[in-house]
Amino acid sequence: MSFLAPALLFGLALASAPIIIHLLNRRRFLRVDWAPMKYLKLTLKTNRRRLRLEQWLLLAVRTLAVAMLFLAVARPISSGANLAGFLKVQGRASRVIVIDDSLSMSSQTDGRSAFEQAQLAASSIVRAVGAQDSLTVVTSSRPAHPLVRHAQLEDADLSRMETTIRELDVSDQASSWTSTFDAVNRHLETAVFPLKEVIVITDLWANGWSSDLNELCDRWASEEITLRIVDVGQEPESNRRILSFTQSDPVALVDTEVRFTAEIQNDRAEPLLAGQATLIVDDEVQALTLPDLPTGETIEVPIALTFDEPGLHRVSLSIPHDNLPNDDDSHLIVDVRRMVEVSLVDGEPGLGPFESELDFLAVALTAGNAPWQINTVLASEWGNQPIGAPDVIVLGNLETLSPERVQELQSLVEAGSGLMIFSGEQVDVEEYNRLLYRGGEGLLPMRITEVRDADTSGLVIEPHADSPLSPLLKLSPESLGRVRPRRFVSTSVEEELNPDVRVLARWNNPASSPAVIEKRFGDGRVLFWTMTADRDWSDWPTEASYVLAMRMAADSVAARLLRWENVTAGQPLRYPLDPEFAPQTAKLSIPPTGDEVPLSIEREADGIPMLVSESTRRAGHYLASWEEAGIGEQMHPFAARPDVSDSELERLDGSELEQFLGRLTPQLIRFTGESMDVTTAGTELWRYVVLMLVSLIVVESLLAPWVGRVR
Amino acid sequence: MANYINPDIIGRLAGIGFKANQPVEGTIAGQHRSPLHGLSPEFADYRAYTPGDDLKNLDWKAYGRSDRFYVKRFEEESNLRAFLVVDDSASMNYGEGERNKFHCAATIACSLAATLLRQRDAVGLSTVGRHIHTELRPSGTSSQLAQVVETLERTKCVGETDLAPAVSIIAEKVPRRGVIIVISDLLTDLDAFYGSLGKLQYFGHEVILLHVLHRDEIEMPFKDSVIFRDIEGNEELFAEPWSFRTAYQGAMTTFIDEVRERCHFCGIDYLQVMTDDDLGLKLSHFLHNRQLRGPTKHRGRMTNLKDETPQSSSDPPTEY
Repeated sequence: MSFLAPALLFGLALASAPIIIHLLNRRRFLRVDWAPMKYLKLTLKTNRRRLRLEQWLLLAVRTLAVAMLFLAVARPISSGANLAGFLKVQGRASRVIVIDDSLSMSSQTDGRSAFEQAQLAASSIVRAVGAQDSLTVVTSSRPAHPLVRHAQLEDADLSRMETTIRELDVSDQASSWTSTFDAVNRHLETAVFPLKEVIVITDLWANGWSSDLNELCDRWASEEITLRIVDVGQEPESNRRILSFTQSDPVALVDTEVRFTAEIQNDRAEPLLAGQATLIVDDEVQALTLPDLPTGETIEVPIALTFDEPGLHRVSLSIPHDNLPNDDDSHLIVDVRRMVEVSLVDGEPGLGPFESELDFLAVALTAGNAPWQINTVLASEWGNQPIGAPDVIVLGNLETLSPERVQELQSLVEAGSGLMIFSGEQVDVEEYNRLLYRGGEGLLPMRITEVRDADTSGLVIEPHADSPLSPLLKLSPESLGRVRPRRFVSTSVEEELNPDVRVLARWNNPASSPAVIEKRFGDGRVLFWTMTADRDWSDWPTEASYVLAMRMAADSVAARLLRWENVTAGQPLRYPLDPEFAPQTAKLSIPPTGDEVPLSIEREADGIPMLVSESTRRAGHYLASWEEAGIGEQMHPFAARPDVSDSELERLDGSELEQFLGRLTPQLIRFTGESMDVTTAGTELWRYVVLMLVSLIVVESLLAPWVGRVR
Repeated sequence: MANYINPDIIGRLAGIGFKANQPVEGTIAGQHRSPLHGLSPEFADYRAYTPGDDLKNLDWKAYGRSDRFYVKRFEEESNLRAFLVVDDSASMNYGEGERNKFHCAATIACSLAATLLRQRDAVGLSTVGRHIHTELRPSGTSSQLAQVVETLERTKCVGETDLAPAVSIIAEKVPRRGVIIVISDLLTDLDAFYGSLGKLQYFGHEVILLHVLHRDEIEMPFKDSVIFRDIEGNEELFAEPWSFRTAYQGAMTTFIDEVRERCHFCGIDYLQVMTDDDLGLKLSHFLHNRQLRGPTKHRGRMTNLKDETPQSSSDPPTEY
C-alpha cells in the first residue's frame, strides 16, 4: 500500500491516545480498605472477563477510529500485492499484454521515459506469467500485429520475448484505445482458455480514452474478462511542442520566397527566450532563432524559404527538446515547381484567335513573364478523361458536366485546388443547379435563376480585406465603370448564403446583382463569374482591368495539391502509380533508421494501382522506391508529422478512467520501475477508509454507553 | 478515647427494658422466667404429695374434690445472665468516627449492658476475632458497666474474622442458660458460624444476632476506579465500581437475606444495624417488638450449611 500524503501517517501515533488515556485513568483511583472482599471477589469473578472484553473492545474501536482518521487523510492507494499476487488467477488463463507505445510514452522523468518503464513492466509480467498460460503481446500502435500470439512461453522463449520487448521503440502516433481494444478483442475471441484477461501497460494520459469503449467493456464485463492496468506514467507537468508546421503559400515556385508557419506552444514553467530551432531542408541544416516564447502561450512563427530546384523537397523543423522530445520535431514535403498549372476547360472552342471561350483568359494569364502554364482542354475531351490535379481549373461556358467529372472536381477542390466557373449562353441552368449547386452542398456558390439582359453601368468591388479582387479597388472608378455586360446570369437571393459564400463584386444595377461570388469548399476555393470569359456578353476582356482581375483571381485560388505526401503519424502512406508502368514490388525506407520494408501495391476500384504502406508509426521522412519498366528506379518522398494530440497535458486517475470502461472495473496498479516488484498504487481508498471511520464512530457511540452502564 | 456510652440511647432502652424470651437460669430472683419451680406467685402445676413435703403446699381444695393429696408448684423468676460477644476483627474497623462499625457495635453493647444492669441482670463480655481476645465474666454489679466500657475502649480491631471457634468456646464456658448477644458484621465463615450458633442453642441459650454493617459495604457508592485492599489481609483488587455495582449490591442483599431467613428459621433474633442508623430508635424498636412478640417459635436449631436442612423438632429440646 502506498500513500499520497505519507507524512500524515505520523498522525497514526495519536492512535495510541485512547490507550494512554485508558492507562492514565487507571492511575487515577481511590485506595479503600475493604471488608466484604469475599462478596467483591465473588462479583468480579463472574463479571471480570466480560468486563475486560467489553473494555478492550471499546478501546480497540477508539484506537482504530483515530488510526482510520489519519489513514484517510494520508490517502492510501489500493491494497498491496507483488506481481505474482497481482497476476494470480484460479486456473489457466489467456492473457493479452498491451504495451502503450504512443507519443506520450516518450515523456521522460529522471532520465527514463515512460516507455522504458513499460518495457521493464512488460518483461516483469512476461517472466511472472507461468508457462501454463497463453500469452499475446501487442503494442497499442500495431495491435493487429502481435509480437507473440497465444504462446505458452518456456524459459528459452522468455529470453527471446524479453529481447523483443527491449528492442521496441516508442511511436509518434496518438493513442486510440477504441481501435486497440477492438484488435485485442479479436485476439481474445480466438483465445483457448476460458479465463481471459487484458493487461494494459500505459501512462494513463487522457488522449485516446473515450466513451466509445463502454460497449466493448460492458461485453468484457459480462464475459468476465479481467482488465488490469499497469500505470507507468507520471503526472504531466510541462511541455513545449510544435502544434503545426504548414506551408502558408498555396504554391511554391522555384526562386520565389515560400512562406511557412510554425505554431509553437510553450506550456513549460519557464519562457523560451531567443531559442534556437533547427531547420533542415534536404539535409541542409539551417539555424533559426525563435521569437520569445512566453509561458503558457502559443505563437505563430513565420518562416521563409527559397528553393533553387523544382521537385519534392524535405523540410524538418526542430525546436529545443524538453522532457517530451517526440513532439518537438515536425516534417513536411514541399512541392516546388517552376510554373503554376492552369487547366482551361473550354466549352465553346473557336477556330481563329480569340474565338474560343477562354482565349482572352489564357492571354491574360500568360502575358509577359508570368509563371503560369496553361493547359487548354476541350469540353468534349474532358468528358472522357480526367484532367489530373492542376493548381487552377477554369470552366468556361460549359453546357453541362458528367457526374463523374463533378465528383472529380469536388474531390480536387476539397483537397485544395482552385476552381473558376464562367457563365455563357451554353450553360444549362437546370443541370448546373442540379449537379454543381446541389441545394447549397455543391461547388456552385449560388443557385442560378436565369440568363438575363443587363442594365448595368459598371462593376463594384466589395471591400473585403482578403478579397482577391481588392487590388481592383486601386483602379480609377472610370475603368471599372466601363465594364458594362450586355447579359449576365442572375442568382438566388443572398439571404440563402451560407457562411462559406461571399460576394466579391457586384454589377452596378438597382438590384446590385452579384458579379463574382466566392465559396470555400474544403481546402479549396471556387470563384463563380456571372459573365462570360470572352466578349460575348461584355467588352471587359479587352480592358486592362480584366487582365489584373483574372490574374489576381487565379492567383488567389491556385494551390498545389499534395494529397499523398504529408500525413500524420499513424496514417498509412498511399500513392497512385501510372497504370501502364505499375511495378510488381516496391519498398519503403522508414525513419529514423532508414530500414527498408516492402510496400504493397493495391488496385483501386477504377483500376489505378496504389502504393500502400501500413500505418506510419514514426514521424519523419519516408522514401518509397520502385522499378518502372523501361524508366528505371522511381522514388517518392513522404513526410509524417507527430500526432501532437497525444501530448495534451492531462492524465486520468482511477475514477476518471472508470467512466470510459462501462461496467468493467479495472484492477489498477502502479509500476515503480525499481525492480520487478510491482508495488501498488492505483485506486484511492480514502472513501472506504472514511466509511470505516464513520462506522467505527457509530459503533463507539453505541458501545461506550453500553459498556459504561451501571451494572 | 471513644465514648461508647450514649445517654440518649440508654435512656430510650431503659424505658423498654430487656426481657428474655426463653427461661433463664439466674442466681438470684429476678424478672425473667426460670426453668426451675420456686416461690413466685405464678402457679406452675400440681404434683402428687410425697411424704416429707411441706404441708403448706397441699392444695386442700383439690383434696376435697378428689380425696387425693396434691402439692401446688409455682414458677421461679430469676435474673438474666447476658453475654455480649463483640466482633473485634479488623473488618469491624471500617468507617470513620461514629460511623465506624466497631464504634457502632461497642455503643450497642454498652447500651444493652446498661439496660440489663439496670434490671439487676448480670452482663458478661467477650471480644472475639479468630480467638477470644478479652473476656469479662458476667456480673450484675454497678461497676460492671464501667468495666465493659473500659474493656471495649481498650480493644483494637486486628486480625481476621473467624467467629465460630470463639463462639463455640463461649457456648461451652457459659454454664447456665442465658442470653448470648453476638454483635458482628458476619464477614466470616458463615458455615462454621452457623454451627457455633447451633451449639449455643443446644446449650439452651437464647441467641440474638446484631448484624452491623456500614452503608458503603452495601451500596458501594464509589464513582472513580478503586483499589480495594483486603482490610484483614494484603490482597488488592483494582475495579471500576460502576461496572459491577448492581451485581455487588445483589450479592450483599443475598448475603443479608440469607442470614436473616436462617436466623428466623432457627428462632434467633436478628437485627441488621447500619452504622448511620439512629441506634436509639433502632434498638428500642427491636426490644419493644421483641417483648410484644413473645417467645420465638422456631422450626429447628441452627446448624451449619453442610447439613443442608436445619434439624427437626425431633432433636433434643432447647430447654433443659
